[in-house]
Amino acid sequence: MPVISYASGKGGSCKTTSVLSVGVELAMKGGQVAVMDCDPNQHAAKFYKLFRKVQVPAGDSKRNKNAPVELSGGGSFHILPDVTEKNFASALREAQGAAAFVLLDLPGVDSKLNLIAQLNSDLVVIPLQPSRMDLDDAFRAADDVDHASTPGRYVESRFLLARWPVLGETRTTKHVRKQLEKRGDRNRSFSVPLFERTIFKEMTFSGKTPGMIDPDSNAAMNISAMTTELLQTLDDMNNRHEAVA
Amino acid sequence: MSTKKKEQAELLDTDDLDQDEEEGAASAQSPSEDTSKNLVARLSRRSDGGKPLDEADLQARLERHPKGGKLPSLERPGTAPPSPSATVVDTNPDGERYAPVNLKIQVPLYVQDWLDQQAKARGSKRWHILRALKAIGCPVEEADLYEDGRRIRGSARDRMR
Repeated sequence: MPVISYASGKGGSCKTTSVLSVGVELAMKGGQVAVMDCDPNQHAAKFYKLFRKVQVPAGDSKRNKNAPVELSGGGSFHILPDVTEKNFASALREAQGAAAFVLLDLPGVDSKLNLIAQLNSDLVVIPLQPSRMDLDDAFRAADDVDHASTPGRYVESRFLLARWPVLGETRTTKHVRKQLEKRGDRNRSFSVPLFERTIFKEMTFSGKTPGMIDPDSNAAMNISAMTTELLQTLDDMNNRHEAVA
Repeated sequence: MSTKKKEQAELLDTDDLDQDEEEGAASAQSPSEDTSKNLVARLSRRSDGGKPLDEADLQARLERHPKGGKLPSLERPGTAPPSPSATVVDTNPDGERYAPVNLKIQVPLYVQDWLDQQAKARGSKRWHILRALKAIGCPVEEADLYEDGRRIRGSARDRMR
């Protein structure tokens, strides 16, 4: 029952887009998924209202207002809105009670809530766009995660290359990759980036993720590959920690 | 390629601005669907992840963290914490609801008089207050919104018969 935070001290680094895309994809693959919306802007919760309208038949929408949305693959997707420092504990308990995968969408600022969330996570995913500002803030977030582990309570981090150009590597993206490599094994990057595509912006208007619109599209395959890599990472982490124990 | 495009390509260290979008996207090929579904099933079964929240341990770890006491809080001073959802009930680790707590506030005398009158006519003061809170958006559970929790005793019980 992994807890995965999407964190960065900078706004607009694709935390919410990644959480929503990967969360729905996990549910479509049969997972029970709960997303805790810790961002005061509540963008994930706004998406969920649209998502529910699309997924839940009109007659059922009021009756099951707070129930997770059941998907055809046997999985479910649910968002807990308005998570703050004060109600974090009860929200996490509720999420863990209802779902096998708990994803946290954190605010794009350094705050106590971010730290509390990271301390309670198994994996912290740090999305970053190919820019100097994103890189600096991502490194700072990764340093915070490095200090979050204690004996018997491991917290790991992975960088997620976000809004990556579809056309191919540029001088900027190569430079970012080089900077990430310099950090070595401490905070590795996912090999599959989140490519820059219009459909990720459309998602916030339509309430549909790329996999729901066209499972064979490049964007849907991108999310599917990202999700599989995330699952493999979690599985590897579990195996490693078991071996240590 | 136009001069402008050439300049752009030079800056970006890429001369493939004309290349098909599909080439870059090729690296995002979906791996076997079965693999990911098996992983979802396996990770869902595991009981070692998602460690239960230990608030005392969390507080200790917060204090030990180099940034523990330095980070700003996003809580607005003076506001009650909103409930994560209408279904979130503050529960203890065993999943049971916490017992009700006493709330002591001072109100003007005329408010108390009005409440007394309302409670005589119907329900209880508690019911009227919770109903008003619910009307302005407080997520009061239906289970907590009973009209009158007082026991009926003595002559009142006889009158009910």
